[in-house]
Amino acid sequence: MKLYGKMSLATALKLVLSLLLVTGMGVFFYIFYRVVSSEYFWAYMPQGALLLGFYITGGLALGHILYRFLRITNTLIDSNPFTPDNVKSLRWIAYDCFIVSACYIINFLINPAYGHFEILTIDIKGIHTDVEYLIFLFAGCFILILSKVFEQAVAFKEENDLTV
Amino acid sequence: MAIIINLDVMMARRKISLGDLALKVGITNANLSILKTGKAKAIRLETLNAICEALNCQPGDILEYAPEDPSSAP
Repeated sequence: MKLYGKMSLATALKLVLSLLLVTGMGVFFYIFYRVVSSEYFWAYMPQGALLLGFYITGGLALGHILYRFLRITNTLIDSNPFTPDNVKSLRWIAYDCFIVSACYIINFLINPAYGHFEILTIDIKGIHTDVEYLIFLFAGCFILILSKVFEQAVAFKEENDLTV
Repeated sequence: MAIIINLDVMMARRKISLGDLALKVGITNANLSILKTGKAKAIRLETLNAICEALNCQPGDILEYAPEDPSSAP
């Protein structure tokens, strides 16, 4: 199976990412509307507003991650992934991961519902964890390193292209 | 960069076009143009050899060292 180029896995990925972005935006605005229109939200105002702030920040960061992945996928389809724009995209994705992770951590610290923290629980609904922030934190670190590696690869490619 | 490519001068002396030289050297017009306009970052000895052969000249006729700071000249 072709991994990148026209009619490849990257093309399928682009389709899935586009769908996710559109669906995610719909779900994001729907939940936002449901939250602000509920009486429960206004009853817990100072904390509710803060949590809504985290929701908006985290949601926008996730949307931006999807958008940047889409841009990277487009270069994969064009069979030209070593571009400075992809380095920028990877860096942005890493920062967005850190933002999402920070939202999780602050929410974890201020939300009393997290009093019973569980690293891993298994029940009839499946396997659950409360360490999502670690996943985003590590992913962010890894992608940030990857962006540096990519930056070097772009420099090597440029040098190679300009070697006659 | 302190290295100047005088390929256009040699091409004019030998009265050869970019396309003809590219054909003789065995590289694309685009790559030869990169070299001619001084945008190239490196040149393979193999390419230099082919250019010297095609233009019947020495590497020194094509490449020239002109220091940016004249006081550092040997």
